[in-house]
Amino acid sequence: MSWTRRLVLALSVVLAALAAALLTAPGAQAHEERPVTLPDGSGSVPKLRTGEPDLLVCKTDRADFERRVAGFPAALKTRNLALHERCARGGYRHLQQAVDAVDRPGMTIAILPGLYEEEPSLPQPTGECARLKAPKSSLGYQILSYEQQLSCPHNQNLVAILGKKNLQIEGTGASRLDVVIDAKYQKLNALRADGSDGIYFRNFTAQRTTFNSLYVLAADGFVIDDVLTRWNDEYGFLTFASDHGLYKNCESYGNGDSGIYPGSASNINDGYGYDVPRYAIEITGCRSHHNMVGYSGTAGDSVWVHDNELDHNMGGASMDSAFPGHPGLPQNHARFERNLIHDNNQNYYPHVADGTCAKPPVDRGYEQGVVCPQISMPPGTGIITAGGNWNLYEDNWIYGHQRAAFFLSAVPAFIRGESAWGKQTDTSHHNRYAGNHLGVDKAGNAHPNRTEVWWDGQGSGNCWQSDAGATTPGALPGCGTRRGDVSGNTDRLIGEPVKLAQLLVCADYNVQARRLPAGCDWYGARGLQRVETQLALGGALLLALAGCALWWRRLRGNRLAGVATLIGLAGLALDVAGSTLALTPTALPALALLLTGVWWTLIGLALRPTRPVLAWATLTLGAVTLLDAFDKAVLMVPGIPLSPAWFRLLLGVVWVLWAVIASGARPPRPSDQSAPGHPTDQPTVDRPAGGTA
Amino acid sequence: MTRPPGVTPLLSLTVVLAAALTLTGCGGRATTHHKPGTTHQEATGSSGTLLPARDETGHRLRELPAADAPTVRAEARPDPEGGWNVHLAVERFRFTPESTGGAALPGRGHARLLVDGRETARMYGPWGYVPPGAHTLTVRLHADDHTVWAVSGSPVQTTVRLDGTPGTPATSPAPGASATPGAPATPATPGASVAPVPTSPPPADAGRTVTLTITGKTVEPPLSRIELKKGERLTLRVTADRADTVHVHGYDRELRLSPGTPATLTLLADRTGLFEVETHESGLVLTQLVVR
Repeated sequence: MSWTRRLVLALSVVLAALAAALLTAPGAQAHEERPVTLPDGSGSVPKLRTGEPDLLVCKTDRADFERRVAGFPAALKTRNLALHERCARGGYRHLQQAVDAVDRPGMTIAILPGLYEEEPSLPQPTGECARLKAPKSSLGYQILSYEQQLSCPHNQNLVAILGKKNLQIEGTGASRLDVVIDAKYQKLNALRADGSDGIYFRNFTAQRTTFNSLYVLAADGFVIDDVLTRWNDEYGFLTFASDHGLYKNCESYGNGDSGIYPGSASNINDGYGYDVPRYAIEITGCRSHHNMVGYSGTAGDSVWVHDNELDHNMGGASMDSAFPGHPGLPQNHARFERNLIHDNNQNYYPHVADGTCAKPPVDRGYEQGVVCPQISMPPGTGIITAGGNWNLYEDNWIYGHQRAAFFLSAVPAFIRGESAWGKQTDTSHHNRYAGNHLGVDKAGNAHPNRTEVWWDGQGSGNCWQSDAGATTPGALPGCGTRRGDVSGNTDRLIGEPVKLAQLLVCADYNVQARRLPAGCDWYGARGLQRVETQLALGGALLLALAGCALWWRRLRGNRLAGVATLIGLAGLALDVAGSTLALTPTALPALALLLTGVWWTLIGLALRPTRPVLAWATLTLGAVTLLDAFDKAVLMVPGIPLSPAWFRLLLGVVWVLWAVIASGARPPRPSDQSAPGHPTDQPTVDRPAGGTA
Repeated sequence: MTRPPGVTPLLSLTVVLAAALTLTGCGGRATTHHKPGTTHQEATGSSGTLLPARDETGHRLRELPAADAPTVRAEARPDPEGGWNVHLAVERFRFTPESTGGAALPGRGHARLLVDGRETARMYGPWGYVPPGAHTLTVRLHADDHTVWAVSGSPVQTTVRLDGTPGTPATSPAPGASATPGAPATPATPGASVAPVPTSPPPADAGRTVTLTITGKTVEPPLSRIELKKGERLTLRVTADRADTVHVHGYDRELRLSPGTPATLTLLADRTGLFEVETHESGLVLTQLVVR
C-alpha cells in the first residue's frame, strides 16, 4: 500500500468521522428509553373484534352528546345513543379508569364521541412519584423503568396501558375526529402501551404532547387503525422495538420529528438478502404530512411501507443508523412500494431562527402550522437513507421535490456507539431504487424533482433505475431487472470529499442554541454562502495562482503552456460555477474537471524537459483529474476504494506547494537568453523552453 | 456486505477514529446524538374554571381572571352592496380553527356571531360579514371546546347596533345604550347571568399615548420610565427607520415595525411590576413600564 493511499485514507476517515459525528442524520430520533429487547416474535398481528364492548367511556352531558352524534348515519346514531345510555349507568368518565378496570386479556373498551382531557391524570406527581430515582435523558425527562411506570403511571403519560394483553380501544364515532384525547402539552405521551402485546387502537384522535401522541413499546402484536395524531414535539406515532405490527389508514401531522416512527422494528431479516420470510411491521393507507419528516426509521428494520402518502413535510421518509441505543442497528430491510411521496418542500427552520421554537411547546403555535424541526436534515427531499442496507424502494411515485427524490449517505458505526473497526463501513450497501415513477404524479402529469439522486458515493451493491434524470454523481450504478442485479457496481470506503464537507457543515445545527449553519443550503444558504462554492472558489484561486506563477516563471515562452494555462483558468472558473446548487447536477462540474485535467496534462508535458519530476507529478494530477471527470460523468470507476476526487485533492495540495516552490526557486545557474522576444531578467529554465510549442 | 479492509488502512483508521472520537466527544456510553432539541417543557397552566352557568345557546361558561381573559371589540362597516363587514379586534386571543373540538387552552378559540340574539355564524379570523336586515350584533368568544370564555360569570363579548345608517351606525352593548361604531362596547348580559362586567374599558378610558422614534441606535425621547396605574391603558406609537419588532416583556406583546411607518400597540396594564420594552433586532431598550 502506498503512502499516498494511506494518507488519503487517514484524511478521509478524519473528515468522514467528523462529518458523521456531527451529522445527526436526516430523519430521526430523539428517543431515549429504558433498555428494551426486541420481542421473540412468537406473537401475531391482532384482529379487530366487532362484538359488543366490555367497557364504556363517555361524558355524562346528554345534550352535548346528542349534538355530537346528530349528524351520524341513522344506524350509527342509534347505536351511539344506546351505548351512551348504557355508559351513563355503568361506564367510565375517563379512559384511564376503563383501562384500569381491564382485568383479563382480550377485552374491548369503547370510547364514545367526546373530548377526553383525562383530568385525573393531570396533576403533577407528588410523594414518592415526585422523588423517583432514575437517569435523566438529554432532553430533560426521566428514563423510568417499567416498575416505575407502573407505580407512577402519570408522571409522563396521560393514559398508561401497562401490561394489558390483547386490549382493544376503539372510538365509536363516525370519524376519528369524534373522539379526541387531548394532552394539552401537559404530558410527554398521550397514550403509552407498554408491555401490552396485542393492543388494537381504532378510530380516535390523540394530540398535543411534548413528545408523542401514541406510543407502543416492546409489543409483539399491535394495530393502529384509523387513528389521527397531531401537534407533538417529536412524533405522532412511535412504535419502538416491536414486532407483528400494522399501521393502517392512519394520519399524522404537525410533528417536530416524524409523523410515523417504527423505530427499532424487530430485526427479523438480518442476514437475509432481498428475499425475506416476513416483515415485522406493515404500514399502509396512512398519510403523514406537515412534519419534519413523514416517516422515520432509526433501525427501522423489516418494515413494509406500501400505498401511503407522505407529502408536504421537509422530507418524505428517512431511515438511518445514526443514533445509538436502538436495537437492530444498522438499519436494514425497509421496503417501500407504491407510495405517493411528493412535494416535501416545507422549510420549518425559520421557526427556529426567529425564536418561535424557543418558547414552551404550548405557545409555539403548532395548531397554526408551526413545526420545530428537532434535527438537521435536507429539506426538499423524498426519501433519505443515512446508513441503511438492503432497502428496497420500488414502484413509488416520487415527485415535486425541490432538492432530490433520493438521498443516500453512509454513517460509520461509531456514530451509533459501535467502535469495532470492522463495522465502520457496514452501512449504505445494497439499497435498490428501481421502477419508481420519478417526477410524475399518479395521473401522469409532469411534476419534476430538481434532482433525482444525491449520493455520497460510499457503499457497495447500491443501484438506481436508469431513467433517473439529473443526479449527483452524474453516473450511477444501474439496477438490473432482478433484485440483486447491479451494473457498474462500485465499492468505495468513503464518500466524495466535497459532500462530506457539506455534511460536516450542515450537521452543526442546534435548535436550542438557534444555530443554523451559515454555509449550508439546507438552511437557505445560496451562492457564495454555500460551503461547496467557498471550497471551490478557494481551491480555484489557489490553483490559479500557483498555475499562473508556474507559467510566468517557468513556461512563459511556451505557447502550448500558455494555452494550457488559459484552459486551466477556464476549467477552474467552471468548477466554481459548477459548485453552485443549480449547476451541480449538470455536466458542468465534469466539464470543469476535463478542462483542468487537460491543463495539467499539457503543463506536465511542457515541464518534462526541464523539471521531469514535477512534470510527472503534474501529469499524474492531470490523469487523476481526467479520471475524476470520467468517474463523475460517464461511469463510476469500479474497483477503487476511494473516489478519484480524494487522490486529486491530495495530489492537488502537494502540487500547489511544489508549483510555488518551482516558480520561486532560483535556477541552478544562469543560462542564455531563452525564447526570442522574451529577454527575461530572470532566466527561467536550464534549457531553452518552448521546444514543444 | 462489509469489506475486509487491508491492514494498513485499518491502522490509520483506528488511530484516526480514536482522534475523531475524542474530538467529537462520542466515545462514552451510548446515548442519543440528538443535540439538545427544543425544550419538552410540559404545560402546567390552567384553562380556567368551568362554571355551571350556560349561555343561551347551551354552552358552559369558562371563567378566567380578568387579567388573563381575552377581550374583544367589534366594528361594523356598511358594505356597499348591503349588509355589514365586521372587524374584530381581540387581545390575548388568537383564532384557532385547526384545533376546534380540542381542549380549551387560554387565549385561543373562535368567535360566534349572534344576530338579534340568534347565533348565525362563527368567525375564525378577524373579518366577517353580516347580511342586511340585522339590528344588533353580539360577538362572543368561545374556547376550542366550545365553552364560552367568561369573566366574573359573564361571557367575553361585545355588542354592536347595526341601525342601517351608512357611515355612522350607532352601536350598543345592549338595547338602550349606545356607543360609537368601532368603539369598545360593554358586554350584554347573558341569559340570567350576573351583572355585566366590562371586557374592554369604555372609549373615554383609552389611556395615554406615548410616541417613540428610533433612528439608528437612538431612541427619542431617551430612555425613561412610564408610570402606570394597574388597569390603565397605554398606547405605544413607535416609528423606526428599519424593520424590527418591539417586544413588551411580561405582557409578552409584540409589535412589528416597518421602516418609516408608525405602528401602534395598545395594552391594558393589568399586571404590576417593571417591564422592559425593547426591540428584537437592534436590541434597544425603548422604555420601561412601571405598573403599580
